[in-house]
Amino acid sequence: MFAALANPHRFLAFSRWAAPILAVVATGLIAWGVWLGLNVPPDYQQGETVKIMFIHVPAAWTSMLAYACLGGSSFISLVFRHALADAAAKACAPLGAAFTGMSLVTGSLWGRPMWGAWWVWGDARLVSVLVLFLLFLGYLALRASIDDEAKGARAAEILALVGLINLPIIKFSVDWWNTLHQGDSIMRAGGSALAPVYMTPLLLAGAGFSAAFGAMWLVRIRAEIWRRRANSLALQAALA
Amino acid sequence: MTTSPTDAHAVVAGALTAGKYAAYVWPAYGVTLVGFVWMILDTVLRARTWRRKADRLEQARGH
Amino acid sequence: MSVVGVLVRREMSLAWARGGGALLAVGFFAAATVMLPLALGPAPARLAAVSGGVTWVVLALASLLSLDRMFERDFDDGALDLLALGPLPLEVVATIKCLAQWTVSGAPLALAAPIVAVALGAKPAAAPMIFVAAGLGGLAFAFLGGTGAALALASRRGGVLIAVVVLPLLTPPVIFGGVAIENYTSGLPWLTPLCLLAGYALGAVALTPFAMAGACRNAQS
Repeated sequence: MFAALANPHRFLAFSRWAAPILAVVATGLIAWGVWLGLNVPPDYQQGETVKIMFIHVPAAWTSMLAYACLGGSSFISLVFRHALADAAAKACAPLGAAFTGMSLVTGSLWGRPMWGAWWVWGDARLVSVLVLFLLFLGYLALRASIDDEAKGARAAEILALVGLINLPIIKFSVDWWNTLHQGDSIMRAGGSALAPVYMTPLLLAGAGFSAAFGAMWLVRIRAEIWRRRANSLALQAALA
Repeated sequence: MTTSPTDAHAVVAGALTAGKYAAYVWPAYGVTLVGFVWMILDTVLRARTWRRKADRLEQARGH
Repeated sequence: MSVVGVLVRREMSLAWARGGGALLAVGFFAAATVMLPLALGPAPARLAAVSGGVTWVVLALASLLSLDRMFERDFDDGALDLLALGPLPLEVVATIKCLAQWTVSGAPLALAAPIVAVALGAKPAAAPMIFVAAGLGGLAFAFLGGTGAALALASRRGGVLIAVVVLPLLTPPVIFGGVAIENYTSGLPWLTPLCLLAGYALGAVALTPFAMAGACRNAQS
């Protein structure tokens, strides 16, 4: 699968139908999940704010998926030197940052009525997502500040890998820090004991967000392939 | 589950009920919508621009 | 062995000559912590409550200060190319560079940190812990900061870029060290966070040289 897709032509042929299919699947899943989510009975603790969960948690899941994809592509690009893997890493980062940003804002809008504050440092998950957002920003900043494309790609890959190794430790450290500092226990939906009425729409929307990320990722990789082709053609034309 | 759909309006109204938390629920959905619209537009426009550019250069070379 | 010795001596003298050496880091650290009471007000209780944490955060920032010249100087004058061709792998060179950087920023700051924290109102009994945590944390800061400096080499604009890239990666050592200091002051178990900090620092020493060497080779190519 991977070896076959490493060829840009085959990737273009594959993504030509894979991206629209994923987009349709994503639309259906998100519509279904959000519809079910909007119709859940109000939670006895959270009231109607529980409806935010069905977009907040999927965005957070997708942002982590995006970082995993970024790290994985970077690793493949670094080890096997596939140009396509670098295009994939480059295409991944803005989407990841956008999903992370969405997760932060919706989490804050959920937190205001629940905790009485727009931001609560006592929630480890929010803090981890914030650090993830900063990691994406660092990646984008490094990539944007290096003019030489090949060098920028390689430096960004190394950074993505360092971040990927660090990410579980960051997650652990923030969780651990949170258990030490938690004054009063903050109940948070999304834990293990979630009723099926809430779990089903959450999983549907989560799958839908992931599929949407996949579809947009494929299209962005296509755009990057065309961009490189256009640049090399322009260079050829200039030299001819 | 909350309504037995006899009237489509009632079903939609039930889904769009957010009680006193409406001021938080709908901005959250709005932000998510804006995020998706931005991502889709940026992605599609980028792909179209570069595809056209590549095609044009390809044709120019062909002549 | 003598090759290593020569390199260590070279890096040490370079690090100490670079931008005023230890004076720069300590000066920034002192000046930044002087700003704190001026901003927060002089109430001793308020200052004492944040003294440990603030010391720790300013320490992390101070150790990122003189990073941008760490590889850039050798990169510009071609010394890095010579080092790459030399008998030692770039990984070892990068390790020595980071250790030299640590002697300029981490070690002097470890000496300055307890004094500053106590001046802000921390209990004098906390001084040894702040010293140990700052020394260990400085090691992690130097190696992760070195990674950022090596990555920024290809961009020709270090400074802020290094900070943006490196600061989110510093989350674990900042947490471990901060908790160690706080627990020690308030009589809670402090050995676990200190061990976590030491483990993280050693992990950074072991792994980041590969990233730095890769980044240097990339910039040279």
